[in-house]
Amino acid sequence: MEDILDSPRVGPENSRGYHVNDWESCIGCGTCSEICPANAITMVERDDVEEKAGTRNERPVIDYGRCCYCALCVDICTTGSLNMTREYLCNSDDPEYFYRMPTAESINNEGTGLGYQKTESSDLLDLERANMKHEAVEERKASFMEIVRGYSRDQALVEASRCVECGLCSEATQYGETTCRKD
Amino acid sequence: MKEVKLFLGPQHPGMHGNASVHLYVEGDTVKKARMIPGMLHRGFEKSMENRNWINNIGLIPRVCVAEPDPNEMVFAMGVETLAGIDIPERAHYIRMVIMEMTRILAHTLSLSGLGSATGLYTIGQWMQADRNTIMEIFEVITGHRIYHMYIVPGGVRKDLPAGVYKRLLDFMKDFESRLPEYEDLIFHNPTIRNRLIDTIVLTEDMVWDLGVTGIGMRSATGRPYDVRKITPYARYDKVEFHVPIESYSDAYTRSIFKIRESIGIIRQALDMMPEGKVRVPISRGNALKYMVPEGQTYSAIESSRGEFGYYMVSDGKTNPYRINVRGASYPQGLLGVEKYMPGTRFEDAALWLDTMGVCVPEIDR
Repeated sequence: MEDILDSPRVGPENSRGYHVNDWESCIGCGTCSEICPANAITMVERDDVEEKAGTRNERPVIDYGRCCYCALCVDICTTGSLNMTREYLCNSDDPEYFYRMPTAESINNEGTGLGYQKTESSDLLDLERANMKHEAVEERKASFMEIVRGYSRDQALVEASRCVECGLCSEATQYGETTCRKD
Repeated sequence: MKEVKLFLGPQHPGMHGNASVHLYVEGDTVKKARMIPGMLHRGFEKSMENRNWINNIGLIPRVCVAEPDPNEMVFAMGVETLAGIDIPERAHYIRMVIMEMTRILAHTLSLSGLGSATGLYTIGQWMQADRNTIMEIFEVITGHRIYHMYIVPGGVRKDLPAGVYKRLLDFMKDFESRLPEYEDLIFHNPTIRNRLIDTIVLTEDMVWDLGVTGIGMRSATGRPYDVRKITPYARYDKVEFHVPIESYSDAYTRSIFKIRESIGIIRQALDMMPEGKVRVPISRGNALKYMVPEGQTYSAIESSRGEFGYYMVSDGKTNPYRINVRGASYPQGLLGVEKYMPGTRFEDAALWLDTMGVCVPEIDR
């Protein structure tokens, strides 16, 4: 009989298998670890990753003993760097083996390609800005009133609820830059 | 005669789930039965309060392993009622397809259990083979085989992938052509008939006493009580299907499968499915900050075992305030075992649990 670990069955295109993470686009925001219902994701600092303003040198580590493969981390990934592959088989007698930091290479490196990816309908971020009210041109011409009205309480709440609270912006302002990638 | 205590479960092939029934038998007859749940208790209801609305979709399917989608469905329906949002039309039809697929999944597993309880293992093997095919289709649609986490508040997570229509239709055609063979194997089989007919009778009084719903109630009382017909959810009011009723409920009547109706509903839903979006957000903001307005609601659907519902209370924050699960098999599984199992032969105890549709996690939530 063929060993299933030697030639594993490949999941379908939508398969929620092991993760891959593109370190180039990952900014270490940690939103994946925030949403994880199983608390399987921890952010671990990497010395070999250069820390630029607007990024953090942390990358997610996934404990596959806890992961429930719900793919909420993929759906909320702010940069789209975290995805899932079609690989779901993996075996080891070392418990530490299942505590993994996903890289661009998948766990078995079978080259099966990506499985579950974020789509428009599964996206859990809200990128639509709550716009401030402006005074009409006629009004502006006739007075010295402030043109921008600012946010009402409700608008401010909506605008604040779009933020994933990664904290990268406040870290970046210490360097004198504003860098929120989500406008 | 001396009373002997026997343990049905948790390590018993006839036990459906992580529970134990302690049987006190005299000779062959059960004199006293006690359902001992608690072996799966993870405090689902309490855990739901500690997770935000969207995180709960990773937890709720686990309330029932055999049929996880009703949990997702009632949770999503409850949130949508509280938030007062209308989901896209296409999502309703996709949900119906998923609900009926999962019903077939549950029926095949239940019949497979019937095979183990009666010793006719062929049923089990055939049914598991078909169950596997449906799970593969589920894998294509949702990405997973058992816990789909596909029906979410606001619609469904992703649109149906290309090619799944044909796969589903092919499966149903093939499955339907084999149903007569299954009927011959199971319901016209003297072994099964002798074993099931007139055993484990569910009377009308028992139904009213316990609050049994679903197939048990419909076959014992002759009343066509089906949540899909009484308070149609999704788009069940747009499809045609028949709710079978009986006037006498023994293990045999309760087992006869109603898979044909589900196949019919899937076909109609695929036919009538409009194009369009499949999901709307339940509130503004990212998923970590979804808030559901204050209120309370009870949403119920017809699962394969009966009425399955969630009573949900929201205090307007990011987490549910309280969720109560009305497990479809809770009444017959907990009280019914104690009250009505005594009197049956102890080899029928596994059959009792199977034909009454007991799903232990629904007690242990």
